[in-house]
Amino acid sequence: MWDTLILNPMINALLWIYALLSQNFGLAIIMFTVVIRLVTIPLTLQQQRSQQKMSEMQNSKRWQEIQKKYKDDKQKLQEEQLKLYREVGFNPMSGCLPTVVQLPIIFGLYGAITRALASTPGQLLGLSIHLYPQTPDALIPLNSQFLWMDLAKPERLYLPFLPGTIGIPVLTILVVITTYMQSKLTTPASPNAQGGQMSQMMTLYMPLLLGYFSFTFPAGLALYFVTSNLLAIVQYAATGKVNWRDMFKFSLAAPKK
Amino acid sequence: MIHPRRTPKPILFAALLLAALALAGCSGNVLTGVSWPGLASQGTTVYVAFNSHLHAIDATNGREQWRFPTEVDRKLTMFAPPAISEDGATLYLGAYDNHVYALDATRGTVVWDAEVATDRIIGSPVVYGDLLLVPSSDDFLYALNRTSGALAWQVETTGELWAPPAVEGDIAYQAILRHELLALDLKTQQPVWQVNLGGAMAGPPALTEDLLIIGNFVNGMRAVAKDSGQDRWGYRDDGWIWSSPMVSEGQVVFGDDQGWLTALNEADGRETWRTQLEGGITASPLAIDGQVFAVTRGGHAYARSLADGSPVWQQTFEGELNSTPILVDGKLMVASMSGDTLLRALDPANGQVIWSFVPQK
Repeated sequence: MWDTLILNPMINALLWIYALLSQNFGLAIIMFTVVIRLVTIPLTLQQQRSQQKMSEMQNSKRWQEIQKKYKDDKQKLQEEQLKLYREVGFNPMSGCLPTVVQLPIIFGLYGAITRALASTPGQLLGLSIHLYPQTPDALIPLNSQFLWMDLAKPERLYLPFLPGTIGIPVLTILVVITTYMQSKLTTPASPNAQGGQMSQMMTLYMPLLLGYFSFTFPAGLALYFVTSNLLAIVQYAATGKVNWRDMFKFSLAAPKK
Repeated sequence: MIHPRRTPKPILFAALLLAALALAGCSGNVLTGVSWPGLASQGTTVYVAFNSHLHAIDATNGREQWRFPTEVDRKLTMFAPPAISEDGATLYLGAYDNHVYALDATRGTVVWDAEVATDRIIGSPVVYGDLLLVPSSDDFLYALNRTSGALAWQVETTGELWAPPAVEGDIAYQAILRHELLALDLKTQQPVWQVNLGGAMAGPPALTEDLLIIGNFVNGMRAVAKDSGQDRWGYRDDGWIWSSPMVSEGQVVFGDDQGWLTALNEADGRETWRTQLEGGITASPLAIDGQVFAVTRGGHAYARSLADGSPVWQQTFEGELNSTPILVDGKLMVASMSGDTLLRALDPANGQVIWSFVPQK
């Protein structure tokens, strides 16, 4: 089911894009990520609208009053918050649903890139099972060279003035920076301490987590992360809501008295 | 309900961990290099290279004589069958850690160990006089001194080398994964000719008196002249041909990943018979005494008549059978890529299991 609906179409689409782009797998990953981002724009916009609405609501006087009034009665607090959601017509699930829908696409994209980069007989045999008859077999094996990178291996840049075994993980650094930027720029500020703390943690841990993946897994995956992050930032900036100064704000939002 | 004020840290950590596991899980075996067992033999000893060990197994009773390494080394995995020196005293093993290991054939101890390549060694090394030829995924064919492991020379080719070179005299015929077939003069290390056959080649060519016969992932089976690389005949096959064909009694027999076992006339490539087996074929068939033995990914082992492909016997086992079977001590050795049993010795007359080898953990 997973293979038929998600993975196989993605792998074959990726290979067709690779064929169209002069068999450049780096460009194919970038183009494929752009296509997936375009397809999921409605979901992303819905998610952004929901986040915005949540942020506005949490900044409202009514919300603050409820927090203050029922700070010692969690159950009552929940009831009042639900009541407020209903009154303003806000569905808290509306921000979550697009993320849930996008998850299979993200995992599928990841699976397609890693499978297409088969570099052992077992991996290539695994890839062959996913290919449609219409996908040209002559594309195999893929050319995984892109700029200075072999996209099938973790990326390192070896410079002449550095000792031979020391390579700079350029893509990993870019993944960490762009993930941090994306997280900082596209996550609305939370007006309360705990929400702000959560955002702060996400901003810190997500770059580290994706950085770890990029450092240890094939560079093709890191290229996807960088492209995806940059597109997310561009997409958010296009809505006119991005505030570049947010990138350098590190303090947690204090609870309003 | 989503409640921003009540999201505790443990949930956030759990979510991140879940995402990490999901990504890692989605990769399956994609990110860990895996292949199928490689088989070789000497006398009554069978050598099976698979994952973390090379096993030396007594073919008379299925007992392990030794294993290399004795303890699991997480960095060291091996899948290609070892090459064996002419005197039988030394085994040469290429591994996925880019090293070549020379082992004492009776004890499995390391004679020398050389980090040769900058990428995996997927194809078997080949003995050539005092040298050992080592194909590597880093596009290079290396020649090592067999006594010391020192590098004698290296030749860069136009792509990854997954197949061992087929050596005749002083010429090595090297299949390159990126569609090229190279004839290399080993004395001068200069190419004699190189041709593009239009499809990926993971196995070596079969050599006949004047032909090289090799399959690929696009064009089926091709025969080219040994001396020039010029096309002699071709046989269209829609499947991927992973291994070298078996040439016997004027017939060229091979399997493809769609499960077709095909026999061609060696002289002109005309089809003599073709039969569908259950499961894709990645291994070369083996021909003995007018019978051809083939194994499939579906776990089936077959014996067919070499003359017309008619069934002789069929057996089904647990696990994928992707490795080329070999005959040792009158028994047919069949290795499994999955399941508990790594190696089975079959009676070639009826396919009955004589013994099974299950590696100790």
